[in-house]
Amino acid sequence: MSSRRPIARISGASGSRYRCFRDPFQVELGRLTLVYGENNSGKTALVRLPALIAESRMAGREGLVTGSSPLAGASPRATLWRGELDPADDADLVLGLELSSGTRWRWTLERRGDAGDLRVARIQIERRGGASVSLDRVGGVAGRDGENPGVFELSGERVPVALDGLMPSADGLPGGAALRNELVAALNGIRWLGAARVGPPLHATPVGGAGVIRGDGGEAKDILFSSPRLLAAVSAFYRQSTENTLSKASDSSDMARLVLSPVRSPGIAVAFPESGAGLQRMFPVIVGLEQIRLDGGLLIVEEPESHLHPRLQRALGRHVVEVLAENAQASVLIETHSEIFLLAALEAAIERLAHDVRILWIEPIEGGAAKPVPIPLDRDGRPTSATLEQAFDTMGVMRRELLGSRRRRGG
Amino acid sequence: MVVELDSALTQVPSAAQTLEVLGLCAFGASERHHIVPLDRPTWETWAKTWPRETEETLREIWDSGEQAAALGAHDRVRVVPDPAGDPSARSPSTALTLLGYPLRVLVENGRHDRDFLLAFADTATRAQLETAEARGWLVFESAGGIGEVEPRLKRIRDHAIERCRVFCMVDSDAKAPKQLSTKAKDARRLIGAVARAAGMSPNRCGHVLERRAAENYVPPREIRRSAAAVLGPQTADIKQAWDAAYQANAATLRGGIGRPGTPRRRFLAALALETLDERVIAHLDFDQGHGADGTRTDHVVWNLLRPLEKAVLKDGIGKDAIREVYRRGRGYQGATDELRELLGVIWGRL
Repeated sequence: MSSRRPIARISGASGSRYRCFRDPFQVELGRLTLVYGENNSGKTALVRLPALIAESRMAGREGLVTGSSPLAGASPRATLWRGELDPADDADLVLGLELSSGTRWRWTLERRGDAGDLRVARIQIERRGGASVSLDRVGGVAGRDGENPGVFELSGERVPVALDGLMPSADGLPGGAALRNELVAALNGIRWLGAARVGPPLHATPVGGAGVIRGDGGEAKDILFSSPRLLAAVSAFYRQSTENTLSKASDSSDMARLVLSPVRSPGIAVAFPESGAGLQRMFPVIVGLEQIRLDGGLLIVEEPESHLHPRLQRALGRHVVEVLAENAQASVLIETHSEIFLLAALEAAIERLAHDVRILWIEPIEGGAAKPVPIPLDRDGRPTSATLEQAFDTMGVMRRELLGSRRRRGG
Repeated sequence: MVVELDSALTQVPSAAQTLEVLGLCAFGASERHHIVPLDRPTWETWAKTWPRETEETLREIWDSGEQAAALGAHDRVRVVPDPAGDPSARSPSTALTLLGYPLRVLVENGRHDRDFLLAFADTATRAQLETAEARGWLVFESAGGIGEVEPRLKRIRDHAIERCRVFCMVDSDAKAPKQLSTKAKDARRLIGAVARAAGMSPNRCGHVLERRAAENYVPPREIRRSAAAVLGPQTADIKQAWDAAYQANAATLRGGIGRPGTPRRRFLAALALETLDERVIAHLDFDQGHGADGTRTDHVVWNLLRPLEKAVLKDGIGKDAIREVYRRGRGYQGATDELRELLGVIWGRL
């Protein structure tokens, strides 16, 4: 377990006019949060919200950074609700995060010009039991990067505040350095893995620095090679759940690749990229999990069950719980359709992660919008709404239809 | 409910008792209750003693039952051949009677309180509650006012089966935090008595609303939307006038506040509600506001309002307008944890 200084956990997310979330919402994030919903309901938009804020910290450039992975190069306008609004409603985009310290950050971004650029109009910081801070934009200083620094009103006074992405400089904030550092530390701990993950390359690659895990899982191999401890931990998972070991084969002093070797003989070792798609897509997830086991932080994973046999889904679900049980500063936010992950989470909610599991359902509402609905668990870890029971009834319906068909044939 | 079948039921000696066990399983076939065989291998052997079609149906009932038990917080009843000395268990015949009773949700006004509750239910929960209601498994029953709740609950408490199949919800009528009316206190006490007699925790048997009345949960956004639908594009101007007056802490706004009951007044009242202190939201008289004689809302609560808020809320919003919002309501946001829990309990007790 990490002996580093505790960092605040991302314990909630909020927003409005964000993608399909037209109306204001605020959701609590547990140490393990599973997000469910139909296809194209808005699950991905929700789980990417913390990653989007974490990415939007480009030095000297104000606003959302959408060229990076969570929005895959989309324009800032792509973050906005594009349906209808009541005439009296504001069209501003609002994004927010809550930290486990109780501090809430909320950014209001207003649309400017036909290009759909978004400018930070307000930053609100609420502290648990303390005074709130509200920076309201009243103008800006024109320069190379638009109007950065902006001129904001703070407690009746006008102050210039430079923004790195969404992050205000500490100078303009009361208690600024501490507030900013707390948020930066929490955002630095976010690792995001999209649904379209890739395995490591087939050929041997140079062994270099660790790098940062990307949304597609790239760099996961380099991170692994940079730490024998991580490699041992990841290999241990593969040994236990797939009866294969994962090892580093050095082709030369500075070139290496990953090899998968069966534990039992006779067996044939293969280059890891030649193994099944499920094992490869799971690879960055396991690396990410081992990283947060060591360092804490939030791992966001989209569809970790992708290409996995149910038995391996079960192993992965239990591994997630084990990692979280070991490091209290680690948390995981998962977008999934898997009933197996749900069952693993519900079991964990009884004891190992009691009070730390949250289940969210993305529900479509009128006008093409959606809202996240929390599904509370009772003290035995049982969902207290019909949503999940109904969502996972498809197999039962199909079984009953099959039996009915057989009976009609007299079988 | 989840019905747990003890494996000793596979050994009952009489044909009548065997039929009772099959009758319990039939509740699973109709998807009314969830049947879970304890010690499944023993029950699998028992299932094999039946014709193939019956055997397959039993398996399907049990698979579905196990899944529902895993994924939902349902009430449980354990069925054994002879429950003597085991107060938590039921015999097959008693269980059949119990499971055949509808769940009665006793409220002050069956129609309006039903609309209120369903307006906040998520889609799946609402669908299951409506299905149960349509099939006669769930009844929203009018007590006829809070004064009638106490005698009704007393009678139910003394009935061995009815007390296990009732849930009661009443207003707190609290004009200020934690100041329940005498009748609400009586109802809460009786809910506790019913729960004790039924061997349940009080929150599974009933609930006294934390806020003053069902009207105090109405989402201001929905009031605003219903008024805006009548007002049309002028809502943007009214909102602008409201913002300006609010900033200036004025007592009225450009264009006036409109007459009581008009869409303009309701729209402004909704704007006021959107920023109000939680104590005001919880204890304001949403129906009549401050009232003609100034007694409908507690003075301490009323004085938390700014002059403009007092002006637009002094006559309330009106029960009928709010009831209409609930009647049309689907999956309202802003369902508090309290309402989510309440709906979860009713669903779990079906």
